[in-house]
Amino acid sequence: MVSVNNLSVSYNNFKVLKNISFEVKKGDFLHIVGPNGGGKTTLVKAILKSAEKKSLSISIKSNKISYLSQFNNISKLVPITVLEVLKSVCTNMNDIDLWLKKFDMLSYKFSSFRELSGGEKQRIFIIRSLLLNPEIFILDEPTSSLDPSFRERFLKLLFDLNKNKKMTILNITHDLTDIVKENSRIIYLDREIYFNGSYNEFKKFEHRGHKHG
Amino acid sequence: MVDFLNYSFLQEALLVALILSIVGSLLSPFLVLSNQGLLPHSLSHVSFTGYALGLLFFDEPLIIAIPFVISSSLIINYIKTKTNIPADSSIGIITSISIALGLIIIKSSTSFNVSIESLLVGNIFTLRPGDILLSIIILILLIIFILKFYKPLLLLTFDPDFSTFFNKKIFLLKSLLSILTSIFIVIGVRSIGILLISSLILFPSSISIQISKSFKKTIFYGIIVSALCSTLGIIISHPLNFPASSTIVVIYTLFFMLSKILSKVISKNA
Repeated sequence: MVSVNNLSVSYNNFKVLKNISFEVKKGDFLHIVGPNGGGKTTLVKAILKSAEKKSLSISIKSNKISYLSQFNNISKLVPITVLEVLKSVCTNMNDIDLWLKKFDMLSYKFSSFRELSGGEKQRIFIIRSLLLNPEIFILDEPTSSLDPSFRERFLKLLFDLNKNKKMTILNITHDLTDIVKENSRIIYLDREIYFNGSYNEFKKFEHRGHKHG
Repeated sequence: MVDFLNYSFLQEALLVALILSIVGSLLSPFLVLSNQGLLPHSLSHVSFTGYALGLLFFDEPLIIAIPFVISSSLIINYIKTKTNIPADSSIGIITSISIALGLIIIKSSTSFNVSIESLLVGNIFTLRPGDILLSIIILILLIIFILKFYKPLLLLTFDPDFSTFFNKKIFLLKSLLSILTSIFIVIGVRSIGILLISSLILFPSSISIQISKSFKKTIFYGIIVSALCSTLGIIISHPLNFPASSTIVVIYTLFFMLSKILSKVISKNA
């Protein structure tokens, strides 16, 4: 679905990413971990950008990509209802209601978005990204503002979508409790790829002294 | 009031003020709520140079002014996204350059016979024949644009990051918005003036977000308030011999204060 081939990114002569290569296959559940400043978000941005503009080092075999970021640069000024937020990407009202219900947010449908709490806003953004029906779902530390019980539900849902709908998931995290053990692959990124393998192999790799951020 | 309707120049002034204020209120949410409120301000100053240039060569300065302001708006867009000059400073720079160039052109031309004051504050009571038609055209263009691109525009205003990811034609959308804003400014400057035309864009959403919870209502309330302010402005200014555009701005300010009070009352009762 996604193949990254010898990708390097620099800002002002500083190499943020160095010769990154990896493959993501359909139905993969890939976690990208690594310290702050290790280039995780830069990698995601490069992948998203290549979805718009052809890139030499990244190719994507789907145009149904969805993206959920850790904190959205949203305008706090705009008066907008929850429904308006969701309708800006999807016209199917049944789908909207279904997802709102699933996330216990149906009663907020006509509420003002700016009056929601941080966690509630994040739930609406999760719904928005799922309404796009993605084949590839890219998440950039989305669980940071969710309360623990909801976070667990969300991770379960991701696992479910991955298993039953073969949704390809790329999850960026520096919190390893996010990692769903079965079936998941891990890439450890600190400007270069230091590890690319299964969760069990990663545990051994960690024992050898690599710390994650 | 009966008197009022007998003067055709007053009817025309009212009609143009009404149309321009509605156009301003339609542009308002997409500019004000995405922190681009300074853009119309700088474009109105750019139009000063545009008019000065236009008057040098043609009887109808719009032939030069419209393309001049449109290209400047696209340059501002470019500077904002591609250089590391902060957006407000780049807008300030463009504003000063425009006024400077405009003044040089006017001073060095011997044939220039239009008063600078009429450009600065405008005069809605001495409209040219084409002004009504031009205002109607920009209103229609803008309505078509908003109806066609409502969702991407909403997304661009509310969540620019996601919008860049979600919408591949974001540059086109931003450019079209700048172009329509430019045309509105150039046409409006003649009747409202360089100094005050941007208030027709700045006030509507600043007022309507005080009392609105949804984006659609923000637009709707903005239109109502603007129509009211411009009508009152024309009706009041003429008998008192006040400049119409200034009167409209003062009324907008009163409505803004009223909306602030109203929002306090609403939030207390909520």
